[in-house]
Amino acid sequence: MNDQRKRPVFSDLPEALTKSAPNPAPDDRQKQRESRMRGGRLGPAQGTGPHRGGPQPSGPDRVAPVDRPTLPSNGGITRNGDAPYGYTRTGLKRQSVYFRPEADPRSRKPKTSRRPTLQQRLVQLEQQLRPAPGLKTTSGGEYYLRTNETGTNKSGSDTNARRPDIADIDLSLDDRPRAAAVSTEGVIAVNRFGLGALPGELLEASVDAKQWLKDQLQQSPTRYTNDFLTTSDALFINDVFNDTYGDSLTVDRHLAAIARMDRMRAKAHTSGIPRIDDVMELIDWPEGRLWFHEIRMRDYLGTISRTPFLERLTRFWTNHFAIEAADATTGLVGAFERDVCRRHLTGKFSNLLIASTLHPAMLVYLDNEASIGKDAPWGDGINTSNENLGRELMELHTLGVNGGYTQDDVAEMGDALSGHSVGMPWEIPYGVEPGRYRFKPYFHQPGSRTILNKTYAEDNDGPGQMIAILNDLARHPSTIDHVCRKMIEHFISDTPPPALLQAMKTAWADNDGLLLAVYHAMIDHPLSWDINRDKLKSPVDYIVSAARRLGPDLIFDTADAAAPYYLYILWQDMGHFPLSAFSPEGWSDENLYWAKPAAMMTRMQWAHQIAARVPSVDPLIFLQDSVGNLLSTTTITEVSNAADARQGMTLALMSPEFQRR
Amino acid sequence: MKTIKLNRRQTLLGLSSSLVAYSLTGPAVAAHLAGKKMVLVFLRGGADGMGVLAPIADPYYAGLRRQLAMTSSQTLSMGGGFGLNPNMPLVHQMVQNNEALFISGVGAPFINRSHFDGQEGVERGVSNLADRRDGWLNRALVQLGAEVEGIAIGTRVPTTLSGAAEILNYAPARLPPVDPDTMNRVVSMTAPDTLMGPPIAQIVADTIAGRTTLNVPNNATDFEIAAALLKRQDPQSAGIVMVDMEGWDTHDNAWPLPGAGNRVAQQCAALDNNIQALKTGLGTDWANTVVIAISEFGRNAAVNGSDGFDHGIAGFALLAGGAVKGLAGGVRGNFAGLAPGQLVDGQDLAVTTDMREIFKGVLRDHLGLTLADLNNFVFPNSSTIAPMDNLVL
Repeated sequence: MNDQRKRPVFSDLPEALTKSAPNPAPDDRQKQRESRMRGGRLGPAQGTGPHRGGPQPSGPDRVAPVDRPTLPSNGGITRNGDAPYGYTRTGLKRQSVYFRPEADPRSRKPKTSRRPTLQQRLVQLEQQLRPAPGLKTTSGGEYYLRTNETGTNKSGSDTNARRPDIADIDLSLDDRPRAAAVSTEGVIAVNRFGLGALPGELLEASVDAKQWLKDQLQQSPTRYTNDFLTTSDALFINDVFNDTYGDSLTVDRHLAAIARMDRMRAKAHTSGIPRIDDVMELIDWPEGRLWFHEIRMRDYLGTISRTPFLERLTRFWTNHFAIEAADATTGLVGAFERDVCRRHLTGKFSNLLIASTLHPAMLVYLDNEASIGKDAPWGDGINTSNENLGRELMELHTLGVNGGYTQDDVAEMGDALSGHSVGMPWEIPYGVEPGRYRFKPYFHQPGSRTILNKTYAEDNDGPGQMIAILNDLARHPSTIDHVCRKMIEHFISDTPPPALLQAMKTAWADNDGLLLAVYHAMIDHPLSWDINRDKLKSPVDYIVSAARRLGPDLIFDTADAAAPYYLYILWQDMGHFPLSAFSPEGWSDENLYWAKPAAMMTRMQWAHQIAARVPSVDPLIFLQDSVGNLLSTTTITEVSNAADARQGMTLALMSPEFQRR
Repeated sequence: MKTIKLNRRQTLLGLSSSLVAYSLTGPAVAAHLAGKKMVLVFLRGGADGMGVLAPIADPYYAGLRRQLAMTSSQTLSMGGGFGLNPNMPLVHQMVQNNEALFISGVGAPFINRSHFDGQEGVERGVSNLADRRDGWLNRALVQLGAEVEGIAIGTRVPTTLSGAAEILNYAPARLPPVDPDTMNRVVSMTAPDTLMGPPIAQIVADTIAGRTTLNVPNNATDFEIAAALLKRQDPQSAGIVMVDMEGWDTHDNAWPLPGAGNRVAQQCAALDNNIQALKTGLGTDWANTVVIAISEFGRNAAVNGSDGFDHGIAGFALLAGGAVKGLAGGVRGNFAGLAPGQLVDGQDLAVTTDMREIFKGVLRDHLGLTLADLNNFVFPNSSTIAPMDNLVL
């Protein structure tokens, strides 16, 4: 306990938020702590045990809220609707003290009829929608879209300023690549570094595959940002957040944020991104709707993107800094991807790392927003700061588990991180901007910290100490090795070739962690272009790649009510949710993680359904459009000998050539 | 390979007409394996051993756990100076019936306080991750041979069950089925692919044989599914199934007593219900069942600044089932103590039982594996770790 430090009094919060605030009386501190304990906290990802393998997460091990579905990684289907003792995962009764449903004009509806649970609705829907073979399509069978030639720019440089639109995509049948013009490098660029071929994309990439990728890197990866919500907005939409920390002052902002979300959705609709209300309706709490909207928007962008390499890189970083969409992080993961990963996609890793570590979603997910140092003004002199973020920061985000840190380093990192928190709505009267990163000196463990044998001086109660630590972590040799290795494992091979790894590490070191240079080193190295296509597409990328060739309506067709539902249960059955990994470790990049028997059967069943919807697509042409001439005779023979078109298309979608990158 | 597989798989649903293609009569199950069932429950995230099984008699317990400590009267009485979390009355009843027991001071083969390394160590059954990449339960199935069915639930098979032995990968089917002709053609087409070929061939064979359909309600939990998968076996058949249970990473709000948001309390209540669901679902087969619940590590002895516990060392194991040899008091193991000098790094309970001792004891006494197989193959480089005796009737 540092007796020289003044302790803030709870009732004097304005001063408490400054560096030299007076100390709180012990009683008041206790009151404050208790308030936090009694549900007065952001729910982190509870039920978020690091999950490796195993079944769909659900059942009584994931305790569900009482009267509305949680949105855990299983996408909201809870198999066990009743939580013991009637409490929720966040420890909150599901009625807000400050934001009562009946006070919300949106929720004024007759109380007499009880809504069916999500589970019941889905079972109902499943029964209604169980499709007959030969499901009808909306546009007469084939999902080609005609191009708007004037809006298309092959090099992509002009598209930067505009929203991507279906009309931008050149899907003309006449552009179907002739095999002769497609190069092996073009096929690899489009599949290994992209999301699978849009019609015509193989030709485009075959001109100069490396330049095709590098051109994409010159485009702004943040171009979608302005149309979306900020992190702060997302927090306000977040019911859990508002239940937990809301007070009457925030209701207006909450409603304003929800209205903004609705406008965003309306705008998305008019700009060509399909409505998803039929499924959204099933999710009757705001942050869940937001999450669902975010992931569908993201998949849609992946489906139509002319800069698929940027999309892949974005997905890589979002997975590197994995956050599970659960409780308070539910509405935040989309904002995290935009504000952190897209924004810093081609910049320096140190900036990406700082943005990630201090983003509200990360601080909340790994329990740092309420971490109080032992000797902090509000510390109790006994309990030490929370280690969760500090450990994963070193183990997963930077050094790697064998990167040379010790348990002492973890404890020191926890202390250094204490105080790095999020502005709360109840702090608004004291001039705090809620929903944004905020350094809280009264939570911070004072003093210098020694991490990896280097001592970092106290920043006089400012965030500078942690920034200095992050800057060093970002440049540590173990970090460079760990991250480059992961990047190769993600894009190229489960067993990174040493020469390629070394080239990327050198580029990193020579350019002070400028990621653009690292990407260039990867693209330029011959080992990145091995004709042996080692990697299996992840489930989400597999679906997206099919939709890129067969048309976005395949998965976003809202006239066919079953389409979004299929995607939805597909995420569950394949155990792969966009924007919500099961653990801070993120989704595995290992081939064997995805190539499991039941998962392969789910792909086959999905392919069989999709094949019924595209009866006039020639499966061999489809394969040629996707992978050019890189087709085995076995595949060609089996597809050619198929009994009917549907079987042929099922085989094409299940072929090793289509499933590998 | 095919022959082995079909022999091991003789026991399934006799309902599907396509099953006719397969022999229904395999080699007789060895007498010592007849009807034996085993369930491995992985408590993922690092279960708080002292929140589940509180060492209330230890003089340092209350001081370390402070506001999160339980008193003797708040817990359910156990032997050896322990008290059981009050949210686990059903398991407590099993303890009193001598069909459940706890082991204190249990540790994973490999602990560096990382979830991911710790879980890999548990799943591979090795203290050096470089030793093996496959799972110990799969290696046990290799040794046991075709007579014992291994089952994984969900689309992502855990490492513990991954390896050379073929297992049944059950996942609830929701998309419409594919016709057998198309399935067989997919198998032919993907056969040359070393990555996708084997799992596709396996799941297609299982699907055509009707093994991937199970008559359970849509909202069945994984534990209910596990029980149903074992229950549907021929009464003489042996089976091993693994179930994951998440949510044990209680860095905050780790309150053990009932109340809003008390995470350890919630987890204990759910575990209690899940074990009971196995017992209910297995019915008469419960008498031949051993359930083992373990976690990758325990948590710190002392509370952190968020009313929770960070990653620690030793935790606990729970054994349940009619074949478990219970004991008065219901607690085994040597609790190392919580005095400052007894804690590892000054903060964690020391490991006094390597969980491989428990696995070995059960595999030897319940399923009849030899010590040589256990030491040399199932748990390589573990000859100094002796099987725990008297775990099984």
